[in-house]
Amino acid sequence: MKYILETKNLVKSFGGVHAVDHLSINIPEKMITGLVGPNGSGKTTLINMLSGFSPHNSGEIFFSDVERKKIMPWENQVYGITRTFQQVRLFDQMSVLDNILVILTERAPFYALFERHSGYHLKCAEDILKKIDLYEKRFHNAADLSYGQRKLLEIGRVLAMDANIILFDEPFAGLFPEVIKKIEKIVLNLKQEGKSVVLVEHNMAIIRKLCDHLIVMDAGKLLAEGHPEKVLSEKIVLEAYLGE
Amino acid sequence: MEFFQLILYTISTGMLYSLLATGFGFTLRSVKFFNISYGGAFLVGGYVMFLFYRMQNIAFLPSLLLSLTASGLYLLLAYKFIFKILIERKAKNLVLLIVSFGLLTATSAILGMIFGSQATIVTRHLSDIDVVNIFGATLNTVQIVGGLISIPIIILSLAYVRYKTRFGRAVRAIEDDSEVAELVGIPKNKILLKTFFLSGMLAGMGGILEGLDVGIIPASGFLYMLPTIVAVVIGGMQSFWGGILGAFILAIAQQLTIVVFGGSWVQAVPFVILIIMLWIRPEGILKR
Amino acid sequence: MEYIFHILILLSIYGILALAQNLVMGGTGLLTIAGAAFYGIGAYVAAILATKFGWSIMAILLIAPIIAGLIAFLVGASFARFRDDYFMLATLGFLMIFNTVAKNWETFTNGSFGIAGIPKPYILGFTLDMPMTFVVLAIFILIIVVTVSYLISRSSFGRALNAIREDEDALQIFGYQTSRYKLMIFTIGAAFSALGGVLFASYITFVDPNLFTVNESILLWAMVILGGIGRNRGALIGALFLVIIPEILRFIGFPTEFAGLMRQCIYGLLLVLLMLYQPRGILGKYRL
Repeated sequence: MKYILETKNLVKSFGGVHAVDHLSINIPEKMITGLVGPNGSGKTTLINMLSGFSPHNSGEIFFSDVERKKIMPWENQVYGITRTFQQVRLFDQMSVLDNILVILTERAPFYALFERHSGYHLKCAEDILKKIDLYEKRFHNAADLSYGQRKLLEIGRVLAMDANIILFDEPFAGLFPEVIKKIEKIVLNLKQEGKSVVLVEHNMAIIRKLCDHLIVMDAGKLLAEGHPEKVLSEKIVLEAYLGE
Repeated sequence: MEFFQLILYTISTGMLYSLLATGFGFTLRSVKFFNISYGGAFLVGGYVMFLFYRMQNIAFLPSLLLSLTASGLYLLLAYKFIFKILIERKAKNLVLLIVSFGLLTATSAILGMIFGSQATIVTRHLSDIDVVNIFGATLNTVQIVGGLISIPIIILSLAYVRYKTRFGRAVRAIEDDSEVAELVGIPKNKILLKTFFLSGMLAGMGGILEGLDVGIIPASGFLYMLPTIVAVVIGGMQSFWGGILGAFILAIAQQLTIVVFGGSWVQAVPFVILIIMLWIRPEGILKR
Repeated sequence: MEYIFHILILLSIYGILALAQNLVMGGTGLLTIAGAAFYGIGAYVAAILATKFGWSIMAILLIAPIIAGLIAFLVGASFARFRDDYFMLATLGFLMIFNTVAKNWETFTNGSFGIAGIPKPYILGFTLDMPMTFVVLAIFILIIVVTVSYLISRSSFGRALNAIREDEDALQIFGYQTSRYKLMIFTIGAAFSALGGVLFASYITFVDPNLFTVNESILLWAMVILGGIGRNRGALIGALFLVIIPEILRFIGFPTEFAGLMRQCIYGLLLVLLMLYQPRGILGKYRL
């Protein structure tokens, strides 16, 4: 297997407590890797570090064997990585369409000043909105959407980013079955397009269904890693969950 | 001895700033935003004192008590009817900041309309203030009784209250983590109301002292907020003693500027120091 | 008739200032008190260039924003990494330093006396000495600023600014170096404010340090929030209201100073009341 993301002895501590404790993991390329573990095991903290949202205290992170030292969040575009947020962080007072357009348009401020989004940007945005079934609501403010629609919009943002590595932080939490099916389809499509996906989830059925590879964390450490069926039947994994 | 005179002035200024900074620190630490309307309490204290002591000719001590109550109430009511509501709505810090500026501006304007924009001096007769000679340098009675005697007493009393009383412990708990404090059974709302009242009184005291010494104008509310904020930022917002440390550092820096560059540049000193501190150590010198 | 021209000119000037403030505040949610400083810089540049060097107003209108923009760029870059409330304090520091420099740099600014007798503006040899011609100039500049603001809002840059206001940290993940955007809009806002300053200096024919104070900046906040942040039209509406009120009061017969204090009281209270009950302002689109 080729690895697109690797961490070596990654540490993140908050005042003496290691949220991520000397973690060394590998994310295989072009597959869907599940990331599971009891609450507080450090999954979101790991996602935050991989996406440059918060800095790591020690250890290394490698993108396709190239070390990414001090991670500035905006460099994600260069490294081809993007993510969704567990608590859904949208641009609430902006329209659904604008939430997507802002991901598609020019990043450099000076050029952005002179750019009015083109017909092409608009078409891409509309295509994405149709994929996530939010085309009809494109002029509504993100704040006015239902919870399920908001989660879909976050996914739309991720699609617009067109990154190679996508980190999903509990994208299925609290959703109705129809919406879950929609998102499952989108995630599988991403894999077909050759993207690498990391999926943080609590729902084991979904994990079994979608994931090719599984990583289990507990208390900031790596507990088990490998094929989902094998990992989920390992004794220590079962203990970690039952003992919770 | 001119040098000694400078030292006395520095101490006197440092004392005033310490009083203001310590009072300000209480509201800053408990609700975590820069409550500019603290300057409003300063004004209320000074002007109400003027109203009772000079205009209504009430005796000094009762006037003092009434004025301190008024300034304390001012800040308490501001918390109760304005800030508390916004905080409960989870308003961003910027919103609270804007509102506190608005409140100070309005207070300043109203007092200006009532009392006029000229300097308002609270003392009844200028001859009431004696000039005392200390080793060849002079200070007036206000600066001595107020600055050198009362303020240290006030600050030490505050320290006692903060560290040795139940109220003080509750205040410190809320400063640390107000949600946990509430869970443990501390009546957060009541304590906050009392904290704001206390802060208001301290600000009012400052207004009264300045009113007696050099007089106040409506703009004083804002003008005295500046060294207050700077003192707190320099000394360390999280620390009770930080405000005092910052206050004296500021007073010394100002005095040095006057000596070296002349009086008119002194206004910029707090801000140059402020910006430097924000660059190198925004949390201030003292951590706790 | 002359009176109407006077109002139109004031409306144009404050319209420009409010639009500038809105670009910075409404766009990114950055709280800046430095608005009055760049306004003042524009006014002083105009005063100095006109009185000491006899420049034409067209040249001044070109160079003042560039100077203000450069200063804003340096200031903004220095303060870029400060958090919200510290950023506000730093801009406050900058304003006070500007104030002190204006009062003390005698060779250029004539100190506290200010610069009087600014000659009437002239373009291509024609002196604009009738109020009507000045009105045309003022409205012309206003239209330019309105147009550019509108273009900015509709551009990709404008969209990004909105996103910064909504959730700056999240936006960064998607590849945006938000501090550059903030610096850029801060600079543009300063340049526009300077245009307002140039018009002001040319119209009133004198400038002095006390015209560009914290109160002016807070007035601009009130205009922007009253109209509704983030909307260019909002800034204009806010400016309309807050310019007209003291004029109405003066019309009814209140003395100028009282009208000024009344306006101060009103915009102070407006900031408090709006944040409590109508944070979206009149146009009601965005809130902080």
